[in-house]
Amino acid sequence: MIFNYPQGLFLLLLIPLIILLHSIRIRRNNTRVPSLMLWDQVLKSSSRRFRLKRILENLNLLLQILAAILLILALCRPGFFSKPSETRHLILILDTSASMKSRWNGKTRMDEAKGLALDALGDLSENSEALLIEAGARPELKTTFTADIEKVRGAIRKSLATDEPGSMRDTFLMALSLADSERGDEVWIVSDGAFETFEEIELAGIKVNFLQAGGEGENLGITRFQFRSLPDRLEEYEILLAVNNYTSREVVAPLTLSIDDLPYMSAEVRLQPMEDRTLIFPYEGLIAETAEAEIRVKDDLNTDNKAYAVLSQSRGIRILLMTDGNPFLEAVLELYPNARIDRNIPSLDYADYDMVVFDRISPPPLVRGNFLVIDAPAPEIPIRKGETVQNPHVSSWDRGHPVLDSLSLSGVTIARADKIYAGEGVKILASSRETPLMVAYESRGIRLVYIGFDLLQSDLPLRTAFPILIGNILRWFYPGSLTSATRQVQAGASYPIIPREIKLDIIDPNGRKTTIYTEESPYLFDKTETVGIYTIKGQSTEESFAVNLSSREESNIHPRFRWKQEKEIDSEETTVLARLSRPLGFIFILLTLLVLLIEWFYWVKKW
Amino acid sequence: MDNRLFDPSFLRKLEYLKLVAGRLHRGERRGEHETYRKGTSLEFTDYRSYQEGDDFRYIDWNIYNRLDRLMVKLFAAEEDLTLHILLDDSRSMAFGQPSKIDCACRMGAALGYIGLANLDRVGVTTFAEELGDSLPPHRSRKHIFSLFNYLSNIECEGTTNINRTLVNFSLRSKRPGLAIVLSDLLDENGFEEGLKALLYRNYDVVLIQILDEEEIEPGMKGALRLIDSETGHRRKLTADSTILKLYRDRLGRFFKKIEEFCLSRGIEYMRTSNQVPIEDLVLKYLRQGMHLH
Repeated sequence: MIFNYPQGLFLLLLIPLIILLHSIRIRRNNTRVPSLMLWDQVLKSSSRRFRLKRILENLNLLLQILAAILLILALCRPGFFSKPSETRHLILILDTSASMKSRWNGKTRMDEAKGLALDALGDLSENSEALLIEAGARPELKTTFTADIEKVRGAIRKSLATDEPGSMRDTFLMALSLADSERGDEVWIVSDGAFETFEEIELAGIKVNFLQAGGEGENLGITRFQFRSLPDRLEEYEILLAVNNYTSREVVAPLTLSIDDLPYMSAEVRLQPMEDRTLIFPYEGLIAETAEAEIRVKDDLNTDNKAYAVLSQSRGIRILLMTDGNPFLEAVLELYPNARIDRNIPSLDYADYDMVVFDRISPPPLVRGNFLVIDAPAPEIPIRKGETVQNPHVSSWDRGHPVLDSLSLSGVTIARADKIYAGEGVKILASSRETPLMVAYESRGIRLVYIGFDLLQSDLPLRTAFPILIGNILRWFYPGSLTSATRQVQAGASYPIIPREIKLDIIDPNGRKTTIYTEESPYLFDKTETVGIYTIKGQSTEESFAVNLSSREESNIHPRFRWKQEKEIDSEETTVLARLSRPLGFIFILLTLLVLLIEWFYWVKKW
Repeated sequence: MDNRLFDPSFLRKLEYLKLVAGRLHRGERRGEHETYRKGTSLEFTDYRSYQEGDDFRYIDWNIYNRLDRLMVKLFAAEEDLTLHILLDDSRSMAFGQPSKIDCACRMGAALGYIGLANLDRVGVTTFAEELGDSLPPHRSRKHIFSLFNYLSNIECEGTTNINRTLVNFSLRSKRPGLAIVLSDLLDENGFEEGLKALLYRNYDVVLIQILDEEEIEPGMKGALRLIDSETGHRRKLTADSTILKLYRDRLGRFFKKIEEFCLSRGIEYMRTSNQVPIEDLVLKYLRQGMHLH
């Protein structure tokens, strides 16, 4: 037995105090008796059982001392130091980030990692349990705790390295949340270690083992590939390319750039060891769809030797304006060179337009689309108009909302506004003390911004905030609608799809198809684990986007994580930290109560 | 002692009770009792088996010759009875409520009254550590007042020495008779020798032990310092259920010892407590004795 709080044993010094209290001369009552003749005989006869009598006379004292000892021991938090049981609970983290595709000794790091993971499971005894988490861009739980180790082995064998940058810290935190330190759970990280050490691993308080897969590696990679159109210059672009040398030697890397499958440029880039070089190339001309950059080197990781870009040349923005006349609004909309504005055309399908504006005209029942409604009730939308408020002042606005990004509504004068009663799903964007003034709503394929006052009865159109507001609204409805931009995301990140049809097929670079049915806009597509060009196909639409590794940290495949001998928790310490000495304090308290009960019972019986 | 407890009706009842001695005694004047005396001038009445100490002269050798058994002749003559009331007035008798000495004096007064009513001689002697002043035996009803007066002036003093005092009494008295010993018998030196001395001197002995209810069933508990009312000696005692049980056990053995002794010696023994009314005691308990009928 061990005592987790041995300092409490000093309380045993109080035992003499109990004895002292008992030894205080008992006050005796003087009682006259006719004769001591019989009493002497009684005393003589009782002294024959002297030892037992003394014990029985002092039994209360002895029981009180025993109770005090038990209580003090309980306060010392006793427990049994238990050897670790044969049953183990193992949390296995398998690194599936892009660096695990690196080649090493004729195989990939992932192959070796899987072998190490399977070996680790081989040491588990019966009734042990294991759990598998894959560490890619996001942690992914592949199995829960199961005694069916074969199931875990099967999941390991199925694991594949991705093109995603890893997030080992997030995965470790997830593992910690699943671990039971009192049970002695262990976390085993199987990885190439190509990530920085994080402090949470040192503070975990749980046994952590690290199995290194692979060794050193050499890699050159493209960590950034972007197109940018020049302002006010159609068909003129800048191409930005970042290349990193994560080798220990100087490298001359041939670089090629293709646009729309046509070679555009080739060059040699000389890079010093560990050098990071950013290259910018001008481009003039039409771009239909895709660009591809490649460095032709033999290194240990191929994933970042190519990068892709899909240009979304700003196509026309279709706007339907339903108004009795609003020169300010029309002027702002006409500022966008790619805006095509239709005026007062009744339409059955507002989804054909990127934005429909109802300026002081009540819209019909809205089904799908993006709407800007100004000072008019919108049926079937949970926004109700109330009484008129005179001269409301804008007292607050939601600076974090994309619609109000980078603008200020301070001091805007409004002659009158109708009180807005916002229902479920309506988000207040700006308000006065009396009423919300601007709200946003999105649900069931509808995105709507509602302005509760007549723009012509306000000085908002005269302020710089107004064109920013309209631009923000357009971008919120349709990201990328206003400028040319490369449509790409990092591997593992979600790509926002603006669905123009309910059913869409998304084909990845390996030809695998994913079909989605959605009315959400945007729809966040997250199956981006492979670098390359993805195609989104609808019945009448088709577009593409690119996925790249784009990660300096991941392209640096040198093992950087340190967790072995110098950081390994000492086994003794592990025992203390991770193995709970079975607490006995409660039992000691129960025993104390039992002894006190016996002492009370004996005292009562005695008298 | 309160004489008013003896109301006239009770006294009239007592008048009709008679004391009968266990043995016949020689007396100066003719009384109402038969007494057995060994002698030829008396009327032969009976035989009885020889007992150790009998005068060989009264052995009937004819019976021995015929029956091969030793038998002595008995002669009878009526004689008066001398009632000796021996009253323990040691300090232990002052204990109780009412005190034991109170009960003893009432008992003595009642028995003395009966004796006097039966023309017996009645005398009272107190004893504690030594024999106290006596009221010599007298006959006649006038002696009642002296008796009551004597009894009412008894004070409890000194320790108890039953053996020595009764032995001295037995040696002193010239006229044995019925000795009624009223005491609590709480004498660590014992009582047997004293009673045996009385028997040896041909007294008929009635032993009446009077105890306080608290002595029979002590209600004390806790840490106590017991003080002997006679000697002043002290004992520390923690009265708990075990100790009290031991006391009752000892008391029982004490009573049994007294009973066995008295039974073996032909001594009438009665035990009472100070809570029993004297009238009931005299009428009921003494009637059970051989001395009243």
